[in-house]
Amino acid sequence: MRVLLVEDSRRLQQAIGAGLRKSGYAVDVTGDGEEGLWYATLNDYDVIVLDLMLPTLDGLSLLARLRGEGKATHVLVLTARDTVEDRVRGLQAGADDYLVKPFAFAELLARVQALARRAHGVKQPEIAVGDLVVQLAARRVTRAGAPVALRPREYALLEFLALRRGQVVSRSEIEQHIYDDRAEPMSNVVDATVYALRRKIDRPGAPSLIQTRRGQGYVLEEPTP
Amino acid sequence: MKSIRKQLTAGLLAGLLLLIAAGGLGLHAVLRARLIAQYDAGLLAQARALATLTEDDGEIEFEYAGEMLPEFGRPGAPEYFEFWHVDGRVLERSVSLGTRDLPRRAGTFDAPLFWDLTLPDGRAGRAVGVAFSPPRDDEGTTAGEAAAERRVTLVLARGRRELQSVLHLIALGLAGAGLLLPLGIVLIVVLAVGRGLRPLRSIGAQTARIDATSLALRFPESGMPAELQPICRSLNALLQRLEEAFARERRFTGDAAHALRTPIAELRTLTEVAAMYPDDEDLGRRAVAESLAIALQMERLVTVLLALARGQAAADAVAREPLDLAAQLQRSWARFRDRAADRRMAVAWEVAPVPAVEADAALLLSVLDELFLNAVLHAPAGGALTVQTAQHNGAVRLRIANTNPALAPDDLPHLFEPFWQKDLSRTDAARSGLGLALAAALCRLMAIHIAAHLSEPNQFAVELTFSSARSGIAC
Repeated sequence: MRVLLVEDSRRLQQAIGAGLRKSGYAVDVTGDGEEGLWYATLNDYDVIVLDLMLPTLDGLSLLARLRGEGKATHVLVLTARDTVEDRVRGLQAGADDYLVKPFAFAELLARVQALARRAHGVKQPEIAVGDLVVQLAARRVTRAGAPVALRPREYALLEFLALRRGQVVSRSEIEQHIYDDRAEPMSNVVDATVYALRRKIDRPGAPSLIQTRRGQGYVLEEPTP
Repeated sequence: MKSIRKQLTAGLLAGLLLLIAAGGLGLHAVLRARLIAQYDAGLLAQARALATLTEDDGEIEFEYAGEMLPEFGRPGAPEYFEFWHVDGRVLERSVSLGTRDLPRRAGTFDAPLFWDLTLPDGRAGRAVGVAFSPPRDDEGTTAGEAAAERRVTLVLARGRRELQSVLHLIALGLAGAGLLLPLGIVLIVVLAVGRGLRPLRSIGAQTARIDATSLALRFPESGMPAELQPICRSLNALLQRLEEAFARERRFTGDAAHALRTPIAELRTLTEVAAMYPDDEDLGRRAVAESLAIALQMERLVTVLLALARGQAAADAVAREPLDLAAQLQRSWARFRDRAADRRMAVAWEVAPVPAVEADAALLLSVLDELFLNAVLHAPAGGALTVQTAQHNGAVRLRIANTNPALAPDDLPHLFEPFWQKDLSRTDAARSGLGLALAAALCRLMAIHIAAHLSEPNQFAVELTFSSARSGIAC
C-alpha cells in the first residue's frame, strides 16, 4: 500500500512516516501544498493523509484541485481545526475521513487501513484465499490457522495481492504500491519478495497460492486442482 | 443602603409639606387681613353714617332716632356707639350702652383707629374710633368759636363673632387641607417616583440578566427618559468593549489551544510510534531528542502566554532604570548573530550615541530578542537587516528593519495580535505568532511606544520610541 503524507510539521512527517513504514506502507512525504498536489497527481496512491494548513497551497485547495482533475484517491484530512464547520467543510471538499490533532497513532493507522481497503472495494476486515487468511486490521496472516511471520514488505505485497485476489497484478503496479520514492527497486526486487513470500505461505510440494502469469504479473488465488 | 426611591419620596414630601404649610399660613394671613379689612370697612361705613347724624348749629347735636337704628337697641347682641365732646363730655351714647362707656380712642376718617375690645356685654368685639367736626349750620354758628372745640369723637363697636367664625372656618379648612393633602401627596409622590424609576428598574433587571453569553445585548435608547439615555449609551459602550474583550479572549484562548495542539500532536505521535516499535533504537533515540525539543518549544510558548496574560498586572513590578541602549542591543544581537550569518544576511549596524533610556533591563532585553528573532526568521536568506538609533525631539528612537517581501500594508494592523501569522501553516516550529505580540505587551508595560512600518518596498521595520530618555549619559 502506498500512502502520500502531506504535512508541514517536520516532526509529524518523521513520526507518521516512520510509523506507517514500520506498518508496511510505502510512504511519500512532503510539507508543501503545491508539491503535495504534484505527488498526488503523478502517482497512484491508496491513501493520502493531508494536513490543511500548508504553505504555498492549503489542504482544502489541494483537495479541490485533486478532485477537479478526476483523482478519486481516498483522502484522510489531518488538522488541528476541530469545529463541526471545519469538519463539514473538509468532507464537502472531497475528504473521505477527518482526524483532529492530537490523535492516537493507532487510530490514524486504522483509518488509513480502512481507507486503503475501501480503495480496493473491500469492506470485510479479512480476506481468505483457501486456508490462507489475511487479517487486514490486525495485519496478521495465518495458513490453516497457523500464524505466518512476514516482514513488512512481504506483508504489504501479500495484502496488495489479497485485495485484488483473482486479478493479475503487474510488477509495475506492485512497485507503485509497495515502494515509495525513497526506495529504488531493482528490476528483480518484486520477484525476490514474491519468492520470499511463497516460501513462507506455501506448503512444500503443493502448488503456490501466488501464481506467475508470464509477461503479465502475479495473481493470488487458490490453485485449481 | 441608600435608596433613590426613598430619597426622592422623602425629599419631595418634605418639600411639598413645607410649601403647603407656608402656603396655608400665608393664605390664612391674607384671608384674615382681607376679612378684617372688609369688616373694618363696614364698621367705618357705619361710623360715617352715624357721623352724618351729628350737626353743629352752634351747639353740637346728634339726631338720634332709636327706631331707625335698631341694631343699637337689639337685645342679646347689640352694637354700641358713643360720642364725646372735645372736652370729654358724653354727647350721646347708644341705648345698648346704658350708662356705660366705651373706651375713648380716635383717629380720623382718613386714618381711622380700629382695635379689638371686650364689649360691655362681655362679647369679643371690634371698635373704630374717629374724631371729626360735625357739619355746621351757618345760621346758628357762633363766630370765632375755635374749630377744635367743635370736634367730636365717635367710637363704634360691634361684636366680631361672625368674623371670628369665618376666620376659624378658614383656619379649620386650611388645617384640614394641610392634613389631607400630605396623604394625597404621599400617594402621588410614591406612585410618581415608582413610575419614574420604572425604566431604571428595567435597566437593572436587564443588566442582571447579562452574562458572558449575552454580551451582544444592547439597551434601547429610544423610549428611555432623557436622563437615562446617557446611562444607556454608556452601558452599551461598556457592553461593546466587554464583547470585544471577550471575543479577543476567546480568540486568544482558541489560538493558544491551537498553538499547543500541534506540538502535543507531534509529541504524542513521536512517542506512540516509538513505543510501538521498541526494537528500533534509532527511532527511539530520535523520539527522545525530538520530545525534548518539543518540550522546550512548549515551555517557551507557555512562558510567553503567561507573560501576555499577566500583562498589566505585572506593571507594578517593572523597574525603570537608565540603560545603555547600544549595550542592550549588542547583548541581544549576540544570540542571533550566528543565525543571521547562516542565512547570509547583510547586517547594517547604525547605532549612534544616544542618551540612556529608562526601561526595565530584563524586559527590554526580551523585547530586543523578540525583534531580532522576528527579523532573522522572516527575512529571506540573503536579506538585509538594519539596526539604527537616533535622538529626535528629546526622544530616543530605535529602528530594526529587515527585508520581508511577504508583508502587505493590510497586514500591519494584525502584526501585534497574538498568534497572527502571515502564513497560516506553522512550518517552522520556532514561529508561534507570539513574538511581536509579546514585544508589544512588554513595551506597553514600560511605556515604550512601538510601531510597525513598511517603509520601503519589501522592507519591514519596527520602531521603538523611548520618551523618557535622560540627557547627559551618552552610550
